[in-house]
Amino acid sequence: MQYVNWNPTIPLQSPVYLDANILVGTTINGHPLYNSCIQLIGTLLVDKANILISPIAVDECMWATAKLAYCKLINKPDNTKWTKIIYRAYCDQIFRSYGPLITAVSTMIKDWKTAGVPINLVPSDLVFDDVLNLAPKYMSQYKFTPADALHLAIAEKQAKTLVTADSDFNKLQKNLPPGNLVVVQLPKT
Amino acid sequence: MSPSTLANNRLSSTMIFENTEVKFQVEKDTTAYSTSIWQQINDILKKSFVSTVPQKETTQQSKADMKPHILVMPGMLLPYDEYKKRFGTIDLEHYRKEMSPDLFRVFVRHIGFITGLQKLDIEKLMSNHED
Repeated sequence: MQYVNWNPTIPLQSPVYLDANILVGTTINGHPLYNSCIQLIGTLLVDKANILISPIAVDECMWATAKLAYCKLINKPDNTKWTKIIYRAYCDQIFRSYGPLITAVSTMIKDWKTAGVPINLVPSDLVFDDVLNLAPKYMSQYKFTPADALHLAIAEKQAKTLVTADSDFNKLQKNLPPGNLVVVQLPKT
Repeated sequence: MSPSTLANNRLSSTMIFENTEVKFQVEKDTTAYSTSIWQQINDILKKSFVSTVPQKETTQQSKADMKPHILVMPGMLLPYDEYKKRFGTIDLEHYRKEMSPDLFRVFVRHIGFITGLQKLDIEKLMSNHED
């Protein structure tokens, strides 16, 4: 495995697994990673790269945009406490006032697919067992959250490149797992 | 296809877009239709419309409408402030040239669709997923 910081000149080998933060970072404007996310996604779409999306990533996107909707609703910053209890309490208001935010990423993915972008849902049946075996190892070895461990395991089994903006993936640098996957990190600006 | 057939299959159309007459030709040949019309729309768009809604009233609302709007693509007219937030630092012309019209349409429709909070940190936004 390789770990590299992203810059616009780095060629991204297809298939490319997209972490949730890249998808969310593409749909929200005005944050420090916005331009990098757009450049990266723009390049992948122009190059007709095979994009891999997992249900975990979509789940994280929906949760993040629901949180953003909640922050907007109560006029608080992005580090506001956000739990399932809060979500359930505010769910109706969130959907009433900010429903399109919750579906922003999933609608984007569907539209890409309709426009002919080669997108695959992962993991496939063929690698499912391997992913289930690998994920807990990554949780233990790198203290990854289950979601991050699954992102890495799925990408390792099905992608040539994993793109993320999550700095937790820095931990890989000290002890890179075997394999050919290239983990590309969007550096904070 | 002979010249006479080509002429028979070509229709001239005119549309008024924000007080500007826009002329284009539509080919009835179904295989050429899509490419031709999008090429013409692309050519028009390359001129980058920046239009101002004419002033008709003096209410607060109409003053807001007076702000410049930018046509990003057919059917997507954005207030200048929103355009600046979403596309101000992005070379849209590059993507317009490199992508098919369908792909460009969905690309610009979704990028920066959500206006972030001030000082939004994507990592912080996604940090407590497991709470």
